[in-house]
Amino acid sequence: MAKIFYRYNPETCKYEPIIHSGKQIVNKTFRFLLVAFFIGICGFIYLNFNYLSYDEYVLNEENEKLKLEWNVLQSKINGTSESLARLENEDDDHYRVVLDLEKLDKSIRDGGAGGSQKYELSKSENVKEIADAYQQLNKIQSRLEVETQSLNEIDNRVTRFEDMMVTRPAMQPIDNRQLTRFNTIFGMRKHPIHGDWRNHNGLDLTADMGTPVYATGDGVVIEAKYNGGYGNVIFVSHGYGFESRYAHLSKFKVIPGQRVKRGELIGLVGNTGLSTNPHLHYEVLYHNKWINPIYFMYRDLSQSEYNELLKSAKAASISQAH
Amino acid sequence: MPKTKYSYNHKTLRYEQVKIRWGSIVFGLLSLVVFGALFFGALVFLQNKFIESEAEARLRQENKSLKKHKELVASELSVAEATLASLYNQEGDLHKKVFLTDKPHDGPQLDRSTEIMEYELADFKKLTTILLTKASSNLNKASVMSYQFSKLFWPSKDDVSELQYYPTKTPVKDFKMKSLASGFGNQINPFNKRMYRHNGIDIICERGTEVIATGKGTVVAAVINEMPGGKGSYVMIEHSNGYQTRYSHLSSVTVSYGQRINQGQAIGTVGATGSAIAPHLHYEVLKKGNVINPVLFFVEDLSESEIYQLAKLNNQVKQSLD
Repeated sequence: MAKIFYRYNPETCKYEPIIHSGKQIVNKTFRFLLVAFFIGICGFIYLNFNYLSYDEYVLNEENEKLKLEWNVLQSKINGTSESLARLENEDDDHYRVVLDLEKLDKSIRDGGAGGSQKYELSKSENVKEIADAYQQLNKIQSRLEVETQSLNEIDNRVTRFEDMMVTRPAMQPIDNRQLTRFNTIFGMRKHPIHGDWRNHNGLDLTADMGTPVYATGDGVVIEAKYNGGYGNVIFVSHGYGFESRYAHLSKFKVIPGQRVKRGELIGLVGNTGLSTNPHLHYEVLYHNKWINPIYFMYRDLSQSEYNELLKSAKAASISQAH
Repeated sequence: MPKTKYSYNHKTLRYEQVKIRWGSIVFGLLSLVVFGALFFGALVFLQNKFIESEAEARLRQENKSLKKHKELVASELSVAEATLASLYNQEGDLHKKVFLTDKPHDGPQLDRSTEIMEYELADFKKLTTILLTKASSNLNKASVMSYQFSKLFWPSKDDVSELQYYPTKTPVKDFKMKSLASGFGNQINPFNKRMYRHNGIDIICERGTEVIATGKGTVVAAVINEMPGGKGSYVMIEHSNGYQTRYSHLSSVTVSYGQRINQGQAIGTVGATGSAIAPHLHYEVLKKGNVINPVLFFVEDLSESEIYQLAKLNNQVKQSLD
């Protein structure tokens, strides 16, 4: 049973029990709750002013974490960009110089970037990190395209250079062991038959009758027939303006139109035409002008390497025949 | 009406004043706080549940797009990286094709504790002795005047005029390690891909780069030859003590026979005349008619460690540009 409290009423001089009416109780409770609510509101306002809301806190945490990850991504992008720049520099300063190609202009390398945005970002997605990353990626992609094309161009150029090197006359047409005399006079000399001063347009390599004569570079036989003072002569066109001629032969081993490899047997030494003894008269021409063939002989080639050259030519011609 | 409360005591049969009990006050306050806390909690909960602040919305959106685009950007980047890697591979292949050697890893490491630079230049030793004696005599003189001064003093190049006659500079300005296409000694002939003795060093530079005399001397040959064989257009300079330098494959020659040349004076421009397949400078140093390694002479423009590095690069067997 609830304890009954009394209050002294001076008017009636009586102790009267305090009886709470329902309304009073409601009032009291309401007041209590109001105060409690006020306290709650105060706390809430204080919290809102001084601290972030829980959601915001969590979101912020997540945001920070994400941005950290984006930083890593960004540094990766930067690394790629730098790596690409190194390649571009190598391309420009090394290969393009070696291969005698024009350097790519910076505007070409950077061209295309900034123009068309590949990724359309909505306004809400337009976060600085994302926009920056896409911009850089775009730039890298267009630079990569340019670099790919550039390297392909260089590749083609290298292939052309390889071809130039393979076709250039670059060996002695007769094996050193079979060579008995080597006449290095190129230019004016007293002609052995005519007896007057004439230009000697090639070099004379003296060897026994029937000694093998090898093509000095890859090319196409354009002529193989008897031709006046040359006697039996083979003209080999090497392309890029080069031509080599092998004169006074006794026998042909090739026919006009045939493709020959460097080191391939094309004929045998003879004594045909204006010749006093068996020898090979060897000429090299560039755009129909005679050059001293000594530049194209590379006589310091060792015997074993010379043999290797002959062997590889033989292997190549066999594989071609099959 | 007085507020004092009374209660009826059945033992004493009296109305007794009710004393203020701390317990009940604390209980009241506590219940107030508890209810306040409940209200507070409810408010916070409601706010989190139903009200979203602008900052929260923004963060939520940002996080969402950061997450979404992270994947996209990462995949794009990995594609770009793969492309770049394949380009690097292509570049490595190119290097192999152009120089017939694997691409060296960035910058050869030098470890001077194990290996000592091999100088085999008796003449330089002689010069060093001259320099040293001169320096020591000067030092003695100076020490009379001031000890401090003597510490700083060192003879300049002008003190030993003879030094200018040595080919101590690099034949092109801003010579880089990478510019050395192929070194002195046994290298691969680009045309027949066999080993041969490379009489000088090949320096990669752009067509038209100025070539400078590496030492003081007299021009003993200034040949212009556009034909694609041998040295092409070249300049040869006679220095003192039997030293000569030769600069081949020039595109233009700006000096003439017999002309006196100062160290560092321009003598022509880089080209691809003669047997060169690409523009480069073929530089030779001769001592009494014999070719010697030019790399060891670049003492003026390069530091000791750079020369050491260069000497190491020089030993790599590469394809020369002839």
